[in-house]
This record gives sequence, C-alpha cells and structure tokens, in this order.
Amino acid sequence: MHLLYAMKRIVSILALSVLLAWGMQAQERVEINMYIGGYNGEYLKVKETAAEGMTLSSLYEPKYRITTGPVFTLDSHFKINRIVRVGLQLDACPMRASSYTRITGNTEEFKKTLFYILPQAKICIPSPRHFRMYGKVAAGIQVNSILEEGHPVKFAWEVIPFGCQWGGQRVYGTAEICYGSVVRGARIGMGFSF
Amino acid sequence: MKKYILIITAALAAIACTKGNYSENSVGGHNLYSLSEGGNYMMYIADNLVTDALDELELALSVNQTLKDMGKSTRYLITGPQDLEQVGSSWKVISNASHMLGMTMVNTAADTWELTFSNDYSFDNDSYPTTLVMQLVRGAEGSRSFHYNWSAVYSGTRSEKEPYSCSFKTVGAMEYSCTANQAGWNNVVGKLSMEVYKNKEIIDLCLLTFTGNPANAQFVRGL
Repeated sequence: MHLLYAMKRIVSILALSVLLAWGMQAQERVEINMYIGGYNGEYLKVKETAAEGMTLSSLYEPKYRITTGPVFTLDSHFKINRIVRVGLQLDACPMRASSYTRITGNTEEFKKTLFYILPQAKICIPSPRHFRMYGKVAAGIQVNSILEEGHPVKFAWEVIPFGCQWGGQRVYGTAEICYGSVVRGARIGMGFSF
Repeated sequence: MKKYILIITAALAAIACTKGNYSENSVGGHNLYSLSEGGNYMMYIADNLVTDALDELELALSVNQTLKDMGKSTRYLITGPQDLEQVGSSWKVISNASHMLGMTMVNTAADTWELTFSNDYSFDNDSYPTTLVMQLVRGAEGSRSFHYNWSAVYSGTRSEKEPYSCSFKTVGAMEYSCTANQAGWNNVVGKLSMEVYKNKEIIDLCLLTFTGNPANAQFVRGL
C-alpha cells in the first residue's frame, strides 16, 4: 500500500512538473487583472442562527448579523494555448459582524478580512479583437478566523460562466458574472497584458 | 458598439457595488430584548402551564360535585372541549383540544391532589415535550367564586430541540390565590428555579421570585 501511495505521489508530481514546464514554455502573454465585486457568501451557515420565539435556543444562542464586501480580487494567468489559460486568483473580503445573545443582552462587534486563494483555469471563447469573451473555473481555499467553531480553512470555489474584456491588447476593461463561495454576483475591473 | 459596452459596464458596476447583508434573525433590533426574556420563559411555566393544570383540576372538581349533587355517577364527564375520564380514583384529561391532554389528577388526601402531566406543551407556539408533577393543597375559595386558592409544589422538565433542555422546580411552596375583580390567579407568592442544559450539561441556573402581582416578578440568572 505504501509503495502504491508513493508511486502515485511521484507520478502526480511528475505530471504537474511537466504541465508547469509546458505552460511556462508555451506562455506568450501574462495577464494581471484587478477587480471589485459584490459578495454573498455561504459560510454563515456554519453558525446557524436560532429561530425567534420562546425557546431556550433562541434565548441562549447568539444571533449574527454580518455585512461583507466588496471583494477585492487580483488574478493572473498565462497562456497554455489559444483557448486555455491557467493562473491564480487572490481575493480579500472585509467583513463586519455583530452578535447578540438574548438571555444576557450582550452584543459583540468584530471586523475581519477573509482571504481566498484559488488556482483557476480560464477558457477563452473565439471572439472579436476588442471584445473578448471567456469563462473560468476556480477552486481553492478560504482562510477565515472569525468563526467560533469550525476549521479556519475551508474549501472555496467559483465559476465564471461569462466574462468579457474590452479595449486594447495591453490595457483593457474586464467584467464577469460570478457564482460560488467567493462572489455571487459580478465583478468589474481592469487588466494588463504583457 | 461602444454604446452597448458602456451600458453593460454601468450595469455591472451597479451590481458590483452591492454588499452582502444578512438580516435573518438580525440583531439590528436588539433593543427589543432584555433580561426579562428569560423571565418570560419561566413565566410560561409558573403561569400558563401551572394555571392550565389548575383549570383542569377545578373543572373536574366542579363537574364531579355537580354530578354528586344530582346523585349521578358516570365514567365520562362531557364538558365541551375539556372532556375528562374517570380512571379508578383519578381523573384524566382526554380532550385533544386541551393543552393538558393526558394529565392525570389523583385525590391523595382531603383537599390534596397530585397532578401528573407528560406531553407536548406550547410556549408561544413552540411545542415541546414537557413534564409536570404537582402536589396541590386546596385553600379557601378565592374572591372569584369559581376559583380556589392553591398551595403548589411542583417540578418538571422540558426538552427542546437538541441540544437544549431544562428542569424546573419550586423552592418551597408557591401560593396561587385570587383577588377580587380579576380573572385567574392574579396573586402569586413563591420562588421557581430553573436549570438550563446544553448537551445535557448545565449552563445556567435561574430564579423567578413572585411577591404578589406576577407582572412584578423578579428574574435572576447565572446563579
């Protein structure tokens, strides 16, 4: 079993190395994009809020009100070929939370920033020179220390069914529709290609 | 083409500027709550639960007396929504319309009754399994002719959705009495304590002290 596991690890590392080397060799241009986007995450479900009413859980469980966003995003890709690009997405999301416990009357307020690190793949759709369309998928981690329970690192994902870039080849505007655990809504920003 | 791109850009910018905002069970209105919330919970025990039980007992006594006066004996007392069944020397609430369905009432000695209840009971539409065992001693007839004054010693439990539950008991006897021109037992003297459990471990000990008007009861927690 140990041998099989070790072989699998070696094959995986070799495959990744080949892919990386191929990507670096094949790269023609590197893109760096900066965005701002709305936020509608789902991590709050970790701490399920208590129902109103005359129950012990509604008296003793804290209730949360959390406001988040906007999300600031930076991503970068390099070309694998005309269609596929791979890269990394970094997100930061300010979060303001307050909790109230009915039985004690205590309120607490705290501010944190959530961070996301997501490797991503970008699929470019053949389109006009000044209006380029694409889709993206990304999966990685969310780092979050605000919750009282649960692991501070959790899985995060995002799908961009439609995104577009407009303008020149080197400097351009960009916007995308997002769904996932990072942003649900849209992002808008600008990018550089070199 | 430029015009369309500008319109799309403006629309996306508007969406992007929205913020996530969680308002379910919001704390925005937390000023509505106070420490009296816990007292209100215990009031459901000391007032609603106990007086519902007393109502059933007085109903049984009343109808039983009427039947005796008429020289009749019957196993069932059909009294509208609060039907009662005689089981040996005890009475049992059998009406589905009653809050105290299944409660038994046993006359253990002269003017002394033991009430036992184990069923779902609602606190403000939240219905959970609740038990109640009461030792009652009848006092004088209250100012309201159809109510008696009662000395009550009781204890019970309430199991809500996991992980919360509680147990409660009187500290000594509690006196429920009626004064003129008021419905029900509007004068209560005594102490009720409640232990709150989370995952079967005690997390709070509360005390509700009555000195007369139930509206002026004092609630203390974290004992």
